Amino acid sequence: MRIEDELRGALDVAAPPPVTRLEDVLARGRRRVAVRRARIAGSALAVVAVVVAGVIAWPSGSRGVLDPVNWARATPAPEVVADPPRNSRLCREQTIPSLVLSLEGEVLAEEQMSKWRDLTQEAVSDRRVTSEDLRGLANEVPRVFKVDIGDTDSVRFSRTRSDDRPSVAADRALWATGACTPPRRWTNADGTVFQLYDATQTGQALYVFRADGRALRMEQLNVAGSLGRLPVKEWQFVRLGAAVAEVL
Amino acid sequence: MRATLNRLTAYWMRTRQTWGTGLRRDEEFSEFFTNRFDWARRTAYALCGDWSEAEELAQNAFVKAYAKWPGVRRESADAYVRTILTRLFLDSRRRVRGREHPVAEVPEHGVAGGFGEHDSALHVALQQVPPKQRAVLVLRYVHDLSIEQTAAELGCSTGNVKSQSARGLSTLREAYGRPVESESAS
Repeated sequence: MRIEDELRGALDVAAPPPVTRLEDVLARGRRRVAVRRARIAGSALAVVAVVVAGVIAWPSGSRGVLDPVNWARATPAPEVVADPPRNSRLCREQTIPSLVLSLEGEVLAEEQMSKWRDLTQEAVSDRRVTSEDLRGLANEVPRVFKVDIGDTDSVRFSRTRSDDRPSVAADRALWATGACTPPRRWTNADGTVFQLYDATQTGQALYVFRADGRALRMEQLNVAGSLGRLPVKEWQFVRLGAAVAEVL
Repeated sequence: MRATLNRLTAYWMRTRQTWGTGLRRDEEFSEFFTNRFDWARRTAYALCGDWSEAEELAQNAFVKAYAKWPGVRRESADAYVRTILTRLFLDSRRRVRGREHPVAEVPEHGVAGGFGEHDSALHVALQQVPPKQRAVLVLRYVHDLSIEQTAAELGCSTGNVKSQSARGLSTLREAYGRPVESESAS
């Protein structure tokens, strides 16, 4: 007889009576189903929790890396001399000195100012944005451009140029606003350095140093002088700065 | 978007079908268990050579099958349980190496508790065959599956089934301890 034929009859052997009862299998099977359902429900809850946590932690998903809330404060290189230097006397006497608002820079063209005004309007789409007549302003060889937002708010722009690398230029401007605390800083993938100075009751400054040496100085102002009532939120301010810096 | 919606709807339908038909599931499964448990237990015995372990393997296979029962097609339920059973057996051998105790010579009389002397000799000889080869032999010859079906149930290639089958038969012939013919030899 061939071994294969022997194998074909291998199930036909005398066997002891089975001891497994249907009830036992059903009970174990139901427990297994319940466990599996609990796992599925748990996984679904975990996914929901992650999504909710993400939404809470990042309430405006479109802010992206330009949200300054987690930017580190600048730590300047010791060999770079800041200009102006930190005002030690003022900082000893007053923890939060008034923001120094003095913009200077290159002459601005009408077309440029027009773009910046449009970008500002996009940033505060729910408020009315105005400025001086651009053609008339252009004739005055302007170095600072001011856009008014509503009755009491405004944003001012100027541009400069530097031969230094963006990080060095940012270090030099570390105390430019007269603040005692180093500004927050973030470097973009293309080498652009964003330097955001702390807000005071009346204003906040943002300097943007591009890799090609061009720099934007921007200030948002609240003439009414109530803290927390600046024209735009920090992340909106930074986003506006990034948009303007692209068309310097 | 529409594709995602369709997938979600299909999943919901499946889930509703799965979770909402507990009574029918139990009825159908009970009938299947009543008809096929002994068959599964004997298959497990051919694999492991021990009735108590065979009982445990068969029971575990049916428990797993119950959990997936709404998704199991009735015409393929045998194959489904057999696949679970075979993989459970192979897993158990992988986890507990050395659990089996090969004997140097096949005893003249079976050791399966007196349930058929001649067949016990065959089962004892089967235990001399390595687990994977044994599984191939059981599927190929005990269950008369094709090489392709065996490969599918074991999750391996047809070439692997052929080589495991040839080596398994050779080992089995040697272990069976009496001259037998073979298809491959003839």
